[in-house]
Amino acid sequence: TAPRPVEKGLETGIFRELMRTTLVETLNEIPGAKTLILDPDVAGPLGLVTDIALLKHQAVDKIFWFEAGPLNVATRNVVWLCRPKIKHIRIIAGMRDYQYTADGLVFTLLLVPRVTELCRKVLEDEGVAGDVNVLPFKMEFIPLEDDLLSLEMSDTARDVYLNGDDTPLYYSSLALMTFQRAFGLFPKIYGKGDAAKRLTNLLERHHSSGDSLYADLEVSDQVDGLIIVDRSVDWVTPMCTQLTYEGMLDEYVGIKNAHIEVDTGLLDGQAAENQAAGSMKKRKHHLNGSKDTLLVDLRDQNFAVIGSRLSKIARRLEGDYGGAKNLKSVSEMKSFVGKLGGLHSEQQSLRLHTGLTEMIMPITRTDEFNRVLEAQQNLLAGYDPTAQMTIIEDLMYQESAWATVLRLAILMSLTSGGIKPKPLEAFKRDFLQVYGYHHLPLLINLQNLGLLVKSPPATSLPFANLRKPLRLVVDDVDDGAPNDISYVYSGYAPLSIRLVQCIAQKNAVASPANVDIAAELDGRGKKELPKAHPLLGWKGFEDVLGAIPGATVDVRQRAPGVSGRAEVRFEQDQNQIVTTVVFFLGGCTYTEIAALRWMAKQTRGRRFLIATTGIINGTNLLESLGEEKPVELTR
Amino acid sequence: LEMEEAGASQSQEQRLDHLAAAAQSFGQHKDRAFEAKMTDDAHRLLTLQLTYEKELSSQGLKFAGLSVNQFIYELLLAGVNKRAEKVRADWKVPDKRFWWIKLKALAALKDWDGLEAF
Repeated sequence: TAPRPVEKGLETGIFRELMRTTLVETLNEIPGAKTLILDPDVAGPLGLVTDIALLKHQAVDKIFWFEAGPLNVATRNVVWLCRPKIKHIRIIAGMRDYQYTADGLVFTLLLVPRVTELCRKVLEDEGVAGDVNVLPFKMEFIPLEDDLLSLEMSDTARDVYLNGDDTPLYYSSLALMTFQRAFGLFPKIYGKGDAAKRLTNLLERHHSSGDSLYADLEVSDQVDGLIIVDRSVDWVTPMCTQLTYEGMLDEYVGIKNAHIEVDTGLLDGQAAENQAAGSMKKRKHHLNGSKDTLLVDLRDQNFAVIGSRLSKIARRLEGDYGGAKNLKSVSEMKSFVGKLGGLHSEQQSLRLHTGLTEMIMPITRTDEFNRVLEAQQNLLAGYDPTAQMTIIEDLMYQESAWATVLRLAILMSLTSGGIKPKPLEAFKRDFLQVYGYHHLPLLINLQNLGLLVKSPPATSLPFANLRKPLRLVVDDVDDGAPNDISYVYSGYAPLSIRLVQCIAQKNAVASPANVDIAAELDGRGKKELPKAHPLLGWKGFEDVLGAIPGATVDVRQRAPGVSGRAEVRFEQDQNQIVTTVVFFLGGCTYTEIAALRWMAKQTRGRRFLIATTGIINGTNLLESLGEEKPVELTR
Repeated sequence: LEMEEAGASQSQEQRLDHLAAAAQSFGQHKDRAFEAKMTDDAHRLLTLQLTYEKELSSQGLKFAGLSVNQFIYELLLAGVNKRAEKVRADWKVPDKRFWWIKLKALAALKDWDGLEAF
């Protein structure tokens, strides 16, 4: 049974506990001391739920990275932990060359998140199936924040939309089933897009399969529904430059598994002064809202206001420290000293965020950044696409980063219904000449996905028709005191989030939240926010949905044996908080997360829990769709 | 697929073979004329890069694997402007782009007279 929801929404920590327990149990099944060999792809997510100490506690002696070649082990047990990829299995099969089994070594292979038939087959073909003990290791949702769950899978978009490989869908469905076991059945499932439909079908099939795990699930009284956002419905959003603080960090510094790599000096002031100026050592820093209160305040803000926010915080801190002078009594001093620890850590995180802001600020002042932004805004607004092509060309000729140029070109293709054949061919030719012919497969893939196509397009590109009804482009948005989700892109409301609003915040689609009313104080001086309306489905937006290709999902789930009108009525209890789960299939961006968090703050009674296959930005999305860089030529 | 293998193969001869095969299989598709042309260009580029490497071997220059832009840039840096012009003509590099490359190369060479003459 799940804990009652508190004001903040569901208790997602249980997923962390679940994974730790699974890990401990799995490792305990292998008796004796063991050497753990990790796939870096798994290590990142794993690091979010466990630490070295816990592993040591389970008799893990040493930890190595996955590599071909001989092992250097001192223990009888060798445990591999990796994704079920063929190249990994080949490496493991290669171990037979070293005759370890003769030494009495015991091999175990833990596959994340499950053992695939293909892997068994490869092991058999390599003739080592008998020597290796193969077990699944279930890794599902990892809570990155209280309101953010991620499967931390990479390349989902490539697998699902390009290769037609639905394995990620299957993993997602299992993770969502686990979620339903913890919190109850989603009463309603909404979604748009063919992959969203397939995922829904999988969920329903699990539920009705009679599997004992899922047989007697009750309909949840805390979660009012699941909204599946299929990435293929909205490619536009990830192509735009993210303008929130955390989004900018991801674009220009890079965030991986919620960790960011920064100079040690930023983390630890003293150390920086002692260090030689030349040594720029990088250290990983975990971006985590529950430990870093400043981050919570800053991350979802538009970058334009970060500077003034920081200076405000700095001044407040100064004031807090200054308070020491005015202490009159011993008890006052005591309480002040108690606060010091908190002040100190706040000061440290202030230093970090100021440092990061200083890194990004110069980028936002460059000519290139501003021209990219201008072209972006014009394309989104549908203003003079031909002129934007000239900007794209100029950027390319000046050898701006290839992903920047390509993102703009894709944006152009998506927003203006393809690019005329001649300019498109010229662009592709130039692009390959400037950045190298190894990008050709990427261009082909983009064409297959309908992201970079000639006009008239083979499949419909509905963006131009959605602009008005969904109010995607908003002129008067105040970055500092936003009244609409479009603040995250300084004037563009992410299509994906607008669709969520169609279901959960209908009036916000038609007009901006009325700030005056929201800010009006009631008698006791408390803000009275409008109550969130229940999830009413797609009603009122049928035309819009019709314009977007892909299936529409609108499903009700019931507990078995319960028929008819037994639906839970959420709206009866004025004070109950319900949670709506928004699942991004194919990854989401930090800006989309910011927009959802902002939405949750506009109404009473509903929280959003964001779940995703992974966190993406336009650049790493494109990288995952392309091929690996060619190796250096040798003679 | 051949493109992938071309990228993965380390030796020049193998990569050239893969590119040729890729160009051929693209050529068999009627909608893939553009891709066929591009792979063919890639093949020609690598061949020319290898030729120039040999011709300029005294300077120990490495061109193989560069993009057209980088190639022209390196040729300009090496001061073999004729060859750079040939690449420009063969790959039909638009003037605007060529001047950007040239500008960068001149700046890198600190050839202020050349910049002046622009």
